[in-house]
Amino acid sequence: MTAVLIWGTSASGHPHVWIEAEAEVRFEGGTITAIGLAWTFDEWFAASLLEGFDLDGDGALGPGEIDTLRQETTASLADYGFFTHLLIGGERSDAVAVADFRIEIDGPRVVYRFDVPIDPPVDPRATAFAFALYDDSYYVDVAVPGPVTLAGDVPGGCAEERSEDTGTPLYYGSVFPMLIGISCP
Amino acid sequence: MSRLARPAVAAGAGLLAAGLVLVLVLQGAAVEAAAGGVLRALALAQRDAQRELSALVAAIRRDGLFGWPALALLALSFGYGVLHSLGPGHGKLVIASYLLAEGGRPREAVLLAAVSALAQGAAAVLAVGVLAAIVGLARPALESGAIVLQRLSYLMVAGIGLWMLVGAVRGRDTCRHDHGHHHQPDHPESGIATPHGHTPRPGARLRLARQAGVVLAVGIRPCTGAILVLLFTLAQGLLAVGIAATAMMAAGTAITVAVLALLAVASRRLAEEAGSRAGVGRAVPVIGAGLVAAVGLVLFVGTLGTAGPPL
Repeated sequence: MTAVLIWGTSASGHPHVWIEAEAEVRFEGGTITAIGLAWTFDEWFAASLLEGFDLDGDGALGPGEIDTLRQETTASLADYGFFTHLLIGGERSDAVAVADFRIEIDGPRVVYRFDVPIDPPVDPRATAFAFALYDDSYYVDVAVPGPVTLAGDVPGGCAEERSEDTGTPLYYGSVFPMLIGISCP
Repeated sequence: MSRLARPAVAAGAGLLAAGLVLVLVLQGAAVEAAAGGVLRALALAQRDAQRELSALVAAIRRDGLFGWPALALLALSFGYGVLHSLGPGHGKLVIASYLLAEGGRPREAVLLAAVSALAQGAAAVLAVGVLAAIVGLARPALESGAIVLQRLSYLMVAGIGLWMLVGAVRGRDTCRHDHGHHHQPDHPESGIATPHGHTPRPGARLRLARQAGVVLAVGIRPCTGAILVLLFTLAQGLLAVGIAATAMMAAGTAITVAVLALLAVASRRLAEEAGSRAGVGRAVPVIGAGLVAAVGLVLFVGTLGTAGPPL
């Protein structure tokens, strides 16, 4: 709710929310079947969530309040492809559905965890696979500070390879999203 | 209009082009070409300032209100206000185009910038206060409320532009007639007799009304940075600290916007001088007013069909 207030006051411009994301690319039988994501919000936005969804005013988010937050968040993120943009075999697409969306609250820290299924699965040895995490309105800045984890039956030699996605200028062209490719020589 | 000779059209087109360039610069498109890294650097600096402010709020919570953390917080809030307002923004666009159209003394421009910045800060305090009072309001209601406020703001800007346009066109119409003899107010909307053949200057009261309109149009869309700091301090039980920080942020914002406002009135003066040299000084206010109306309408149209917030 307070998120609406923040957004409603700034149709464009500087990012107002900062996310530090962790990503895990999951393999089954040598093919990529899902990307697991964890978003940690900056303290200010986390505070506005904790403030805005504390409907009973008891100073903490109970299970019901977290559920309301989850429903509203997933509904609005669906319009933005969950900030998860895929580039598979040269074709761009956005995540349309996610699985297992969880919200973890630990004191002032708010973390969203969810999985983006890759369906049909992609064999990165045969088809170029890459993804980028960004909000094209640049209301939210999404960074992936750490290395991406590759989990499951990872074919030998596969590794992440980052490049700037110059085809997707953000914020008047001052920012380009990071394209994270999985390359298997 | 029939009297508008070809050089007038040329000078008019020139001013319009200059105005559009200003708009583009403000919207950051030129920044892209010139120094794409600047906006990003500003955004990151804001992020750092935000982190630092969070740490200071925590320190105040631990050590109390009186001490260096509180002083540092006020200083940093001021800096954050400067940083936050350096990027592209609608408030600045509105103020700059208005001043480009209306002209005015530098002191007036600075005052308008300062009052608008303070209004945005005050609006943020009000918005968070209202929000705290109506906890539990359904999200769709808030969403449409925010959009309505945004649209209202832009329509007001367009309205001010049209108002100025009518005044400027009427002013020129009266100048078309023989006006060598009458000293009665020949510009009914200004109530002040203007020197013959010169650009009609609206009366002081009228200008004040328009400026109040600009402040209101800018102010009903509260400062986002202020809302963030207020919500953060509210969550920490230190809302008073947040309000003090908001005041400092507004002061910082006022400085940035004042510089821009001075640039706008200086540009206006240049356009006026160039216009009167070309013998088309009267076209300047008409085109300027048209620019304000266009800015309002373009911003308004931009709010149509926007999706809700992502988070």
